[in-house]
Amino acid sequence: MAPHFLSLLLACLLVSSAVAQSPVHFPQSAYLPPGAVGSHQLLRGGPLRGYFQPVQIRVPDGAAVSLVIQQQFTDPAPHATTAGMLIGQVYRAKVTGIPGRPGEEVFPTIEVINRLHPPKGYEARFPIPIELTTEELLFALQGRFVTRVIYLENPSDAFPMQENPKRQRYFEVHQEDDPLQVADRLGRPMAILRMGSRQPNTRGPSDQFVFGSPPLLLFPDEYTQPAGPVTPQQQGRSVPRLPFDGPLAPQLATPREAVRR
Amino acid sequence: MIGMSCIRCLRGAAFWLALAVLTVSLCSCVAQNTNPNRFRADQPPSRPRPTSPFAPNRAMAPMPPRQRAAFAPQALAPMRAAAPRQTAAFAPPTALPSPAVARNVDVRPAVARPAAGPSVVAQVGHTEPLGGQPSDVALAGCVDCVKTHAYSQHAPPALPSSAWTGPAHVGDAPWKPDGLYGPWPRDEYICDGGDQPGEVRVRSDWSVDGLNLEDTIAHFDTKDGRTIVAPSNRVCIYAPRFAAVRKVSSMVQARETMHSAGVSAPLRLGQQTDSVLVESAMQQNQAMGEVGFRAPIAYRERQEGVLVHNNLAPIHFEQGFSPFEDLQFIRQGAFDNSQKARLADVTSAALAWTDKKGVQVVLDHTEAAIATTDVRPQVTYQYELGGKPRLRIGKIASRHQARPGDIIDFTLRFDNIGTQEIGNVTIIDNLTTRLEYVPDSAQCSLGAEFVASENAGESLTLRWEITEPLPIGVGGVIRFKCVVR
Repeated sequence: MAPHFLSLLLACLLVSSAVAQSPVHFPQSAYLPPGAVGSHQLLRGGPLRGYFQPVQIRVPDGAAVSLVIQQQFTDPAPHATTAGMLIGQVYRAKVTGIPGRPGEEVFPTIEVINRLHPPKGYEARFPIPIELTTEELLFALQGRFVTRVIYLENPSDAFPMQENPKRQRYFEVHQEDDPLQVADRLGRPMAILRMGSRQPNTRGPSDQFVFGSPPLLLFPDEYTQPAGPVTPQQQGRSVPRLPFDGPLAPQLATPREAVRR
Repeated sequence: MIGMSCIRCLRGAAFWLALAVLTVSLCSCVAQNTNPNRFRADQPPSRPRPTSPFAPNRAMAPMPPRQRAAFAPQALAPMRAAAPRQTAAFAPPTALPSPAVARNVDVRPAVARPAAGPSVVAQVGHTEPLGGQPSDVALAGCVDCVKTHAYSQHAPPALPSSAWTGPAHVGDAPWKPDGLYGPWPRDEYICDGGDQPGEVRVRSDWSVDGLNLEDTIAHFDTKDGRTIVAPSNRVCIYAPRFAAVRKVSSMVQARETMHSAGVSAPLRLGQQTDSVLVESAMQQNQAMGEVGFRAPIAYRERQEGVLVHNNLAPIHFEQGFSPFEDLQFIRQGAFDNSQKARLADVTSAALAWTDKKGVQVVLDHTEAAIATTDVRPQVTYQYELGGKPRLRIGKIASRHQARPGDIIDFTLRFDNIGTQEIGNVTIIDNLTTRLEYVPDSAQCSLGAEFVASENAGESLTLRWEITEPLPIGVGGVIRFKCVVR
């Protein structure tokens, strides 16, 4: 009887010490390759696959942003652009006209890892805002690497301040911290922005550089306004006009010029 | 013999260790799927998202007590004097936190149950059908509900239908896990109204305990000296807000400069000092006099300031009704079947009422029972009438969805639907953190004192104290505006 009791006690001690060493396990990290986090999200199920989550990319005044459609960058859109992006895909963007750095370009990547569930008809009114500040663009031009994890704030932990619709609030983390894990503690991570000094080949962006040019839904310019009171154009028309109607195709987006025509 | 025992002990330890490792691995697998701290996905959860560890339970600061005379009008004063507060006889002491509270608090039942026999029907509010999805059974009794469903008002969806993948859903409602009530996901909505767990209790001095963020309640006094709490319905508005976590790293972050730790250079002895013995000693001088202490010549008294409340009189009530208030429920306090759908539309952003947090017009110990639970867009409560005091309070919002900076108009309608006059009616709305009260926007159709004080969520607690007793069948309307943070 005594040997059994001693063996049980020994096993309990070993197990308790092993459990105490790892209180929380984070299987994902912002340091994973682009697309890994979103792909893992798709494996967990739910209504994520195939959903085009509207994303709004904002750049400083004077700068312009363009996205990739069929391995070609669209016409630069000043201030901001709104597009529906698939979860788990990686989208390459190009920022030009950086204040104080004429002629230089930055090519950030955007990975959407979660989605919103707005009332039907209001999807375009609530995009995920991704803001590129002048400071971060200059960091990228200096060779630094900027990782920004955009998360959905938990209302119970809401920051008790009036939100500036034109300026996204962010927190700086230490070098030893993982921004994805910090964002997960603060709310629900929605998208990851990665921005460095990587440039495409002189012959143009390769397929690898644009991550295969995944499908994209471009929204009209009137939906690129920052969050705030509803605009007169949107008042009275809850359903946004999309450039496409009908079933989705693998390549269903066209350059902005085509949309305007 | 000792060797055999050791071998037997090691075998047993190995067996238990293997069993424990298997158990821990299973637990870790489960923990990976249930731990709220780990990275989450939109996998259908079995229950609403738990509170983040960064969200401490904010205890509501004690409300300033009501600073006016007790409800004892001339016609009612003799009755009150003859029948002092005896609520304790109706409220079981075990359900109350303290005797001081137990004397004056009327406990509302937590779960409604069907009531039998003849009863008066009060139709209040709207609810989400059980199961969260409008089932065929639920819609069979309310055909119009399908036509006037909130989502049906927005004609073709914004995205192609093929973009809505995943589990099939009924109608135009977005996908939602089965078995969940109310709006989902919770972190995309801001809600206001109802009485969150930790029910509101009113002390004898009309101070309020248990008032959480988002709570909206009314309390009033009865002729027999009781104080009854009536929560409003819960209004949810779709208003997600984002923030970001940033990290900037570079290749030079690990650069480290090494310096020499020190130099070893021993010094030679420079000189030698001889120690000389003391040959004489000098006595210390005596004190020449005594130094006196001067007494203070002046005394300044510091008196602490007394508590001051900012009593703001409500501005003149605008009699005109806004378009979203053009309902019989708001105008006259009566329900019109033809307006149920519109009422459902303004009551909540998308999905208003939860089973626990819906309207609970429950007074005394008569449980309001849900008579029809699966018919949109209302819940019908039934309860016995027997000379009971009763106050109904409903809340609607002007918008279903809002972005930071948008202004939302809230309207509260309260009615005395009981069979006796009630007094000291107080309506309290504890705004959530994301809602900021617009100054000077409070209106009340009846004479009332308006008090605004800061709450734990760094927003405001709005309080209207109706000055006059509320006769039978009489009600009022309260309006105020909030900016979405």
